[in-house]
Amino acid sequence: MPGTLQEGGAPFQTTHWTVVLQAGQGEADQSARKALATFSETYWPPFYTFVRRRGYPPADAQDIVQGFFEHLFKQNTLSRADQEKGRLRTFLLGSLQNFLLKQRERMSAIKRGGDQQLVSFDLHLPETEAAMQATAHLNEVSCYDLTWAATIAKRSWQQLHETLVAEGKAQWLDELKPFVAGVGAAPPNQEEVAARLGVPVATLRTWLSRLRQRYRELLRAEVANTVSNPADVNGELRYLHRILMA
Amino acid sequence: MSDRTDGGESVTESAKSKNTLPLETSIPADALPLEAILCTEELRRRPSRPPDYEKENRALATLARALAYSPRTILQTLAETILDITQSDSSGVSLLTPDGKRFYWPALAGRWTPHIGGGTPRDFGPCGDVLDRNMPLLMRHWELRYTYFSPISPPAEEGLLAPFYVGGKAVGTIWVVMHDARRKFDAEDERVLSRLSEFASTAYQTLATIDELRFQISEHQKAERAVRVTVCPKCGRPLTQVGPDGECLRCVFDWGFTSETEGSEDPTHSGVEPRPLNYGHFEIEMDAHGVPIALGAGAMAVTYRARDTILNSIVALKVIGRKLAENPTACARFLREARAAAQIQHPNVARVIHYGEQDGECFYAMELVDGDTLEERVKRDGPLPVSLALEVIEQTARGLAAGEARGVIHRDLKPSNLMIESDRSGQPMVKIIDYGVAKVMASDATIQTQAEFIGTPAFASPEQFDEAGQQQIDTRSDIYALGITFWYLLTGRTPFASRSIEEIRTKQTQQLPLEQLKSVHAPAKVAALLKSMLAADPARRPQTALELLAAIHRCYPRFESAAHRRRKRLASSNRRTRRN
Repeated sequence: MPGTLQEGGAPFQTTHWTVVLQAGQGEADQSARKALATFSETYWPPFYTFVRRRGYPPADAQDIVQGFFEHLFKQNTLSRADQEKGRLRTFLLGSLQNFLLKQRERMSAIKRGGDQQLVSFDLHLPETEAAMQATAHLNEVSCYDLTWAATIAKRSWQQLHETLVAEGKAQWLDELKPFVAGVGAAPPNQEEVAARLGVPVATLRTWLSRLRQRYRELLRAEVANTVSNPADVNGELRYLHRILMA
Repeated sequence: MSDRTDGGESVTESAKSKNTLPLETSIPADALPLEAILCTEELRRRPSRPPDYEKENRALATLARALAYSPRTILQTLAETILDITQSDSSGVSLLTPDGKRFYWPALAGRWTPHIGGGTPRDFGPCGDVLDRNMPLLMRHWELRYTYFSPISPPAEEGLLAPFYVGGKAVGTIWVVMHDARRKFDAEDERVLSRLSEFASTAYQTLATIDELRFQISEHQKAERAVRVTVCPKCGRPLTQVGPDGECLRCVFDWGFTSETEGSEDPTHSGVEPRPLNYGHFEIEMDAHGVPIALGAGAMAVTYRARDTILNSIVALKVIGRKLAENPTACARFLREARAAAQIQHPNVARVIHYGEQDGECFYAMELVDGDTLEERVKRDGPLPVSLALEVIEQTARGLAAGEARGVIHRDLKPSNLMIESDRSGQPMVKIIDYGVAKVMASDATIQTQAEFIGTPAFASPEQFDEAGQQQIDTRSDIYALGITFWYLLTGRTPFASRSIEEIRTKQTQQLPLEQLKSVHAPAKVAALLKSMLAADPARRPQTALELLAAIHRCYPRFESAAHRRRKRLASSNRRTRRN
């Protein structure tokens, strides 16, 4: 029986912006590399999707994204980001576009299958490809934004899941999840679920409200990680919402 | 020619093989002018053989069959037919690549077949000149004008080329070549070439149109597949962005986002339906987001703020969990206890005003106390002054005495079950809530386990932990719980803070941590009162609520006068009420 939900919080100690900026500084060390690897582990799909939509086959797209992250890390090109930084999403898209312009010369420097790879594509590659194929009607930038928004939603959702599992509330979350997202055939009936859980419907609604509140905080924290000015969080949230709901 | 007749390639792709001898050319600055190799005018002057219509009709019939049975090889059939009808050495079709920069050979027949492949640049060969002039041309030894990297093999003596049209536009040539001088082309060759080319180009155009249509269809199908991907049953949008368990991330984001802003485009997205929630004639009040306003929640029940739709007053509505409500015995006992609690008419007890059952859920409405629980008060403001704590305990003891008179005990007295509000004169007024609920819960063996101890372990009396149930639970248990509550009000903590029930039980039999009381400067009499209330043996506690009241009054003489004044006030108030 779940009790009161505790306040949630984002596990990242630093923002994604900080990670990218540190990686772009000359003095980037091993911990900065690790932080960038952690970031790229989650955030590679938008970049991969963008490159694929530019017409590169899967293997080349993986090489390019790998090279792009290496480029972020190795090249001291991000110092100007301090002045220009705003939204990480748009900044990185611009960086990737510049990178692609010069990718011919850079491709020779990219080694496939090297032992110092930042990004591991094995996980989630099929669904990223499938999502990309399914949004063939979008241009590459829209596709990038859509995948970025989905990555934000997914990461926050996973954090919520991990937190609740750690609190021993996995089963409880499984019961509430269908009210949030379409995983079943049809949205469930509140009365039925309340009866199955043995609680009043009003209690179920309260739980849903608390779950929602908690997810909202995680979502905000994740978006806050990608903007340099806290005042931009609402604007970025609105933009990502519009992209997803288009 | 067998590799040309498989019929499986698209028309525009059927000439990608044949790389045996590239015919890359470049025209040197001193190259011969085109006129030097042209002999088209001579062609018109040459004696021409008579038309062989029968043969021509057979050739057309062959092309028609090819079109019917093997349309993909129509150009190859054309090359072979022309080779036969003109009795030439080699023949073929040259087409421009889609970018218009090069020619390639989708069909070849005759002696050149094994020797040429690849393609030629648009402007460096005979075909380009034919397109430029847009007419049939006869050439002789064109290698004199177009310098090839390697000699043409076998060398060409004479070549006759005619434009090949698609959609009225010349997109290539159809040609015949003689490798020696045993025969020269004549006007009849030109006519036949043009005739067959015209037929083939029409057929080819049809095929190209079909190909284009098929391509467009396949593109549409791709787009349709993209649109036809599984649709989220909740939001109705394509299920393209999914989470780890197939969740629709659009819904997930929307769910988290829209609660922040003014309304969602679809309120059902939240999983919270905005319709009213009624229990009997009580309607639970909702906040702006359609979420019920909960006043408190326990393991088995939740209390909501609700409106009595008949009297139009606000009440506290306690809804009991289904697990408990599904047990008929528990339900009957709950009703009995609710009835008993409803009998307690006392200013220090929140009155039960209604009981009901609906769709398998039990609920009861009670007086709504407009104040804080003492737990909230202590957490917010810290421990209470001794005088106020005594006031609270004294009023609670009065409430307990009223219950005792009706044979009802509380069983779960604790700071969160005591509400404090101010009466009209600004004096604190304590209300005991949830009378009798714990007893119903505790009586149901199926729901009372170690893990789900009914009551609150930190405030429970030693006899409430008695698993064998040998010891009777009576008012003295409530007095013990009130003692722990008193301790909490004075110090902000319970005397036996522990992580497990076992630890609490052990500590209850040991010496009280009286040093905690010293740190808050509790008078000795208060400490003595607490010691008596918290005696492990029920026989050593005050035996009734009235005895407790007397003990409270004894330990704090000034309280006696204050209580006297309050009683006097209440009495005069009651007299006024009766007169009215």
